[in-house]
Amino acid sequence: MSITSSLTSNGEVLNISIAGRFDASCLEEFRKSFEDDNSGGLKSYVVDLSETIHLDSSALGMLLVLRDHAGGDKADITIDNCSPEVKKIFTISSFEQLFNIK
Amino acid sequence: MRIDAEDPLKILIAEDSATDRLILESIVAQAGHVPIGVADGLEAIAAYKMTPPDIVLLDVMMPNMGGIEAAGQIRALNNNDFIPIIFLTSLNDPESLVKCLESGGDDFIPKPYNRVVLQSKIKAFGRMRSMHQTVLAQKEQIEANNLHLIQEQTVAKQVFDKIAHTGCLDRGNIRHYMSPLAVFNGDVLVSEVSPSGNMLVLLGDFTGHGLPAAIGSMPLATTFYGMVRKGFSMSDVLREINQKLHEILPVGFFCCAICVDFNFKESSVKIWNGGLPEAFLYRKSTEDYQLIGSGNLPLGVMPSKNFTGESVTLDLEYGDRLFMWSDGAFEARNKRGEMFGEKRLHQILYQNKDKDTLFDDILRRVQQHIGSGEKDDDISLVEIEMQDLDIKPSYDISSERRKGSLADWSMQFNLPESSLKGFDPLPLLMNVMSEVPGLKQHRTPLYTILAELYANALEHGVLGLSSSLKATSGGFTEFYTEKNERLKSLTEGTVGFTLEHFADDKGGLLKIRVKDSGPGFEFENKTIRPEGDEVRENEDYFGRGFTLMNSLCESLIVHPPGNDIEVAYRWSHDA
Amino acid sequence: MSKLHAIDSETLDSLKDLLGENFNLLIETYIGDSSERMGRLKEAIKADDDDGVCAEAHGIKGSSRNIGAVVIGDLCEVLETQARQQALVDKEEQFAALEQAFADVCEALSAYL
Repeated sequence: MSITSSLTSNGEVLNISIAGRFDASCLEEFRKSFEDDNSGGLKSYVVDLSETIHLDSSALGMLLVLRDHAGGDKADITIDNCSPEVKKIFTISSFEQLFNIK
Repeated sequence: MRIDAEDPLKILIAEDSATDRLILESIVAQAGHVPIGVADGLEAIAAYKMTPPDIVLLDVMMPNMGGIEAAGQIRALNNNDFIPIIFLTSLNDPESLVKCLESGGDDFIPKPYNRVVLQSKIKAFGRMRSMHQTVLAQKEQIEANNLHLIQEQTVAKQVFDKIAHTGCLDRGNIRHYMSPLAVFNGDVLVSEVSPSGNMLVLLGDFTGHGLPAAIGSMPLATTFYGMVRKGFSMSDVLREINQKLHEILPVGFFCCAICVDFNFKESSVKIWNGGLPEAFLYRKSTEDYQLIGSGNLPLGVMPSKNFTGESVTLDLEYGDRLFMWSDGAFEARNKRGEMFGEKRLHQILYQNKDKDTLFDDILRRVQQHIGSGEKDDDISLVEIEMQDLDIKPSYDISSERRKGSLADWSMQFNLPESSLKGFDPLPLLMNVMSEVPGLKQHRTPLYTILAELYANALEHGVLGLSSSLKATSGGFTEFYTEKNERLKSLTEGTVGFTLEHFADDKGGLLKIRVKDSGPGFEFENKTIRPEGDEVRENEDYFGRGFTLMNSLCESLIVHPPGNDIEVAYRWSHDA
Repeated sequence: MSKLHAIDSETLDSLKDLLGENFNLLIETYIGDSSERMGRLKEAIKADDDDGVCAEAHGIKGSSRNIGAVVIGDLCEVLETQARQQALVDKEEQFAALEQAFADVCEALSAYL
């Protein structure tokens, strides 16, 4: 598992991509990926799951932590490149109500 | 006792030659350690018992007892502690050296002694011993911690079992399985019979494992039991649990859950699924499954203002079975790490339709898949069958007649349209009534009476709905859809309750009068005959509740113009 | 001083360094202990006690080599090996040579005191 994050050139979007398993073992790394940013100009987040193999309920929890960090109901978070399996997990938990799932 | 590699070590030296012993002692002392010199194996064992050394140097050939025998005996004296034994020997044939090692020796120092070699070996073995002691101390610490953890879990489990007791899981129409320590896997299963005889079951799966996952089960269980017993509706119970969990749990922790409300009188079930896998409802008539997937966020994710208590209501027939499970059931992994998988589970379901052994089959197959080596089972599986049941709550048996509590009283309680839209007045009224000692036991009939009166006043009186809709099984859903729509657009209407209680020696008399703002109906000619065709004409207003009410109450009076009904309920402590 | 070749002076010097004031004690212990062993070895040879010869020769060999008495060590090793194999040859002659070597070492050692 490895998590990388990068800001877009205008500093408005933070891209976080997760490679490998997205589960409880990623907690600290995932948290770091967005908490380290203090630029203040951030408007939205994109979580890229194209390299993600497996996702469990702890991952859902971590996404909620990100949502909370990003302003709760005001948060603008896109979860990108979901595989059909991952999409199903989001559907079961109704997370499309909270995130923009693509 | 811990030692550092640089600390002085106690070195036991067994050497029969006084010259050699003197030299060895000097070498050891020069390196900063403490030599204890003895002349043979017997003395060595005695010295070892008196002051356990850190390292033992043994000459092989000594009078009385040689080094090899001494080494064996010294090894037998201690189990865990690592005390290196180094043989001093001029023997160099492989056979002798092997004998030394087999007797418990760790190394050799050849004669004549080389000071540098001897001191280096002592240093190396001192370091090994120090490492060993660290590992040993850590191992003991881990063992102690583990024991402590198990004790804590046992106690926690006992506490949890008291709070989240099995409820009504022992009823014949429910089968369930949870692994023994499932609570520490974050699974929770609670069930209770409501005052009106409905059966509510909630299966939950908290995020994560261990204590963080288990901790949310407590408020969930207490809220569930507390509210179901008071007669709150499933959506109220879920809303409250959602709010509690949202307040208590840290962000990112939540509970995927499925909650069902079995109504045996109406032969229907209400199902709410928030984040758990699809529940499978086996329809006996069509011999097929109906899947009830999640349409809600899990519990605790959002505050209750955003909470959607969206449930589906389904009519059931006797023999219909509902299967529910947490995703542990198909996430169960075998030794190779392969999940049992949703497909395999569904396969079993379809291959064993309507077989009584289905539940056990699923369980057996999952456990077979996991195998014996793996402890990682957090399978929770529940099967509920719709049967012709008349169940009563088992919890309300307390016959305590408290002194100085509510005896004679009366109250009036009016609900205008704003409250009628969303508020459920029954729990509140039940609460007031349960303040009368002994009346609590009559909760079920009282709830039924209140529920019937209120439903009639609201649905037929205020909203003007026709109960003929309810007559067909499909119309049941339609009726409630219509009800919700009319409630939404309601602009005026009231329902008023008047309750009067008169206590006597045996129990008391409770009068309940419910008046609604509806037009009422012509009733005078039809009350006289509780059975028969005449009643049917009035179904619009009273429906099948009428007969039930009449059987429960001492008297039933309909005040003209028919929008005002008064019943008297006589109760005694013995009932 | 002519007997100094009987002993390895380097070994002895380093022992003097190691033991300091105990060095004299070491020499006295060696001479006393070894004299007793020489006595016991002589008797064992007389009595054709191979085990006794082996044990005593082994003992003398060990401590002699430790103090640098190389010649004694070598002579004892031959005796010890032969006795273990129960194949002692010319044991009286061997013992005589050992006695001579021991006397040389004692003489050399007293020069160190």
